[in-house]
Amino acid sequence: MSAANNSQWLQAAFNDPVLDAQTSFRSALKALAEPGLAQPLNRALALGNLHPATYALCLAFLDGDTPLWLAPCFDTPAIRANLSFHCGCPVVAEREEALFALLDEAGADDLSAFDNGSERYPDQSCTLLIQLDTLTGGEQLRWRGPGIKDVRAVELPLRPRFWQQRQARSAFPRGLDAFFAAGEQVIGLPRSTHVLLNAEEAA
Amino acid sequence: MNTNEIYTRSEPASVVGGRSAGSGMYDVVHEDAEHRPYANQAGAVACEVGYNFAYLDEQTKRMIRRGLLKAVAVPGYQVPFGGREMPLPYGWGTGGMQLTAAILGADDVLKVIDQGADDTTNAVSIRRFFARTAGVKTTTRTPEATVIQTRHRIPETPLTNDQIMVYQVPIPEPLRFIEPSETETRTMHALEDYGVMHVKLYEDIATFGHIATSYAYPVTVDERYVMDPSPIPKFDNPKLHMSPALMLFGAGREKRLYAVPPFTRVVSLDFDDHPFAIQSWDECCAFCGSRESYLDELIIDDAGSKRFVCSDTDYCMQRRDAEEEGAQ
Amino acid sequence: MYVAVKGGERAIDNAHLLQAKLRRGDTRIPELSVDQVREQMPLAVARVMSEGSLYDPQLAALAIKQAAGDLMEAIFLLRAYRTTLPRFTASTPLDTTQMQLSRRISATFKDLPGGQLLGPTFDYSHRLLDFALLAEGEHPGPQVNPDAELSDCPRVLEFLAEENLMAREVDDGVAVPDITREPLDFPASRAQRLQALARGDEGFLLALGYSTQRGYGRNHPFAGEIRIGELEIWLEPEELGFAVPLGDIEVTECEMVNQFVGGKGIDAQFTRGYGLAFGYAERKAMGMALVDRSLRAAEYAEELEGPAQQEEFVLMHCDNVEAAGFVSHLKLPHYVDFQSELELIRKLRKQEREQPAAEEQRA
Repeated sequence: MSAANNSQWLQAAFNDPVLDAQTSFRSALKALAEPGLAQPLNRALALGNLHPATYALCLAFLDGDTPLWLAPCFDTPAIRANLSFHCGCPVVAEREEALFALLDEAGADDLSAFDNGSERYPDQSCTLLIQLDTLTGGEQLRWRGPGIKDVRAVELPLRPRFWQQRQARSAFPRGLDAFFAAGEQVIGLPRSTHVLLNAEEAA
Repeated sequence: MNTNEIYTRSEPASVVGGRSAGSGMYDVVHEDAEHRPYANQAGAVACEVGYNFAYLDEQTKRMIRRGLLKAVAVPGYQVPFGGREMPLPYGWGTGGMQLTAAILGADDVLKVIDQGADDTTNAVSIRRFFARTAGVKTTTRTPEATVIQTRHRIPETPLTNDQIMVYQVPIPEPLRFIEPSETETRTMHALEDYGVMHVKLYEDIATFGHIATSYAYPVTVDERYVMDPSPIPKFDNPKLHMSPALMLFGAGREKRLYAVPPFTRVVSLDFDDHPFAIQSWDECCAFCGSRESYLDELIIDDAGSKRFVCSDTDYCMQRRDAEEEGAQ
Repeated sequence: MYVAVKGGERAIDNAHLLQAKLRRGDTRIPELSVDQVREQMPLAVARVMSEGSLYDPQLAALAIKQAAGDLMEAIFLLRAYRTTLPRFTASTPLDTTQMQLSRRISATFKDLPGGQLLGPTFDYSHRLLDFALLAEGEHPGPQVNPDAELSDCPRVLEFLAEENLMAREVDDGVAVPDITREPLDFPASRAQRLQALARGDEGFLLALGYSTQRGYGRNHPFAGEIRIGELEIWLEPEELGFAVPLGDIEVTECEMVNQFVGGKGIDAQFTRGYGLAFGYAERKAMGMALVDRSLRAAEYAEELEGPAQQEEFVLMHCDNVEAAGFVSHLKLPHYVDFQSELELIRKLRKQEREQPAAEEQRA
């Protein structure tokens, strides 16, 4: 697959590859360090159905060392061509091989087989980049853990299935870390965050 | 191929002009595949001619940044990273510098301290490095800084939620002096088996009547990982607990990085009958009179007379300035 | 009184000027050129290139000049430069049988195809100071036979492998890790070990290799073959699909033949230790080969009885840039930590004095 054949799909990436990558990373870092707080992420334009925030995360994180798994809705010639050209990341078919996974709301319902690290190397796990239509309006859940002073109410519009899947893949320090992107914003959800589901709350 | 002319690749060359002269044709031979067929010439905001913004190339920064995300996600766990050679010697802050280089942006204001002071030679040297290679604004004022790189101290002035602390770490493994093998200590962390650490501290008590660790005093982060807080005096340990600032730790030679997110529980190891306690002095600072700050001891004459002054020079200066203003 | 350790900025500037003066020495003596260092100190250049992990004689010579002859400092300079270079691609594996040999010796066979080629060496020189070098002048040059031709020099250990007396090293096709990009993990792969040793300090490897000879993990070595010469480097760019030559580099390769493994129904075989270094670097390549073999102890289920067999110990301490940095950092101010030690030791002493007194009072 040569770049020339794909040139019709190519779009611009970051305006300033150095400083925009840095700004985007810092937003992501803050998002993960303070789970549940939305951070701005507006240094990229949309790419096909990828929102600006989602595309910015890709541009900031991915390169030749990061195998990427694409949910079917993001597996388009335009996304493949641009990620290949601007990031050089290999797109993998097997979930187990992925260091990053690009998911939509439906994709977030199935977290099976993504690498959640080992007891000895919990860092060697897949990071989920989950694009949603919006970061609010869902059921309000209470998040606790590092990065949250007391408790934080977050209302991501996710189906219960996601939380069950996340729970099933968690055995701290093993687990999956996620970024939720929508429009020009991002919310981080590291594995260290305890999400109190309403049933637990009642209990 | 001509797409290269139309689109700028995301990654600027870390070498932009003026670098390859004089180096032979062999430069590329031992360098490894990046699988990027096209060289690129995107203009970075390089202040030192020929070097990328903040010295490190973008590929290295991305690798460190991905490591930092994992470090934040697993507080207190040491993430292995492909530490690079820096133009300063190992042991002189290369880990902290790589972290700072990976997070630093054009709008940041950088403060660098060594032993609490902004004007110790190594702090001067590192601050200059980033002023040269990143062109960032630097400061000695703790409240003005957005990124504070430190060796051996946490500032006395309380930190805020918009600040990131970067610690220089010589030996990141708190269990290393008890168990020299990395294979073994990694297993201990995996199994949360910290018995040897408690045995070591208890042996201190049996021998000296006290825990004989006064700096690099081990802590437990969020009730899981035992972590070396870097060689800060134990006086500073309580400042780590539920701090509003993000804490990042970098060990260059040992190629490990780790983190404590804001508002995270950080507890110094102790025993019920020997609770953790910080240092205290009978004296106060000879300059500002503080009784709350960590003091440096100075020998001021041949008879060995001593004076004590604040180790945090900015804190001391602010107190003296405030005092003067009050007097006027 | 508080300024003794302050005013760092001016002190640093002046330290640089003083160092420059120290490097230059007496200005009535002509300045050393980088070309002179490159051409007349090739062994120093080789060491700096090997341990600096960058093949560039000119830059290595510059580093030696800039470091005022301190080779570890020069190695550090080259490493710090290397780390900023972009990575284009990896070469195809070197084929050392294709070497244009300048020296090739085997201690295991008196004669063999290709013959022994003594080449340049200090080995048989009497170590007498040559006062003629005090005066400058041209050397007479070696006797050259213009008709001489070098015949093929197959690898010595390959003959043993043909007889099945030595296990062949086979490419397992696994991607080769790069220890300059991903940190070592333990147990390390052989590729990682060899990379670490290739960058490792010559003196450290020499001492460890020596320790195995003296019985701390003995492995009965024979210098199967040492070859030194120029070797062509080939690249195979993905878009071309075929390899192109890039240029020549000089390397030194050493293969040790070590005592056997086998028994209990398995045919005995010799084992191998491998060393490779840039330039003319025989001592380095030999030390590396001895230590490589030592580190294969686990592979051959040998008892670990010497430091040279302990992988973590060897690999974590063989890098002189790391070692020199961490030792030299002791020169940095540590007065905060020292103050906390002072506070503690005074407290312990005070308690020691008061406690017996208190106990006496009670008694």
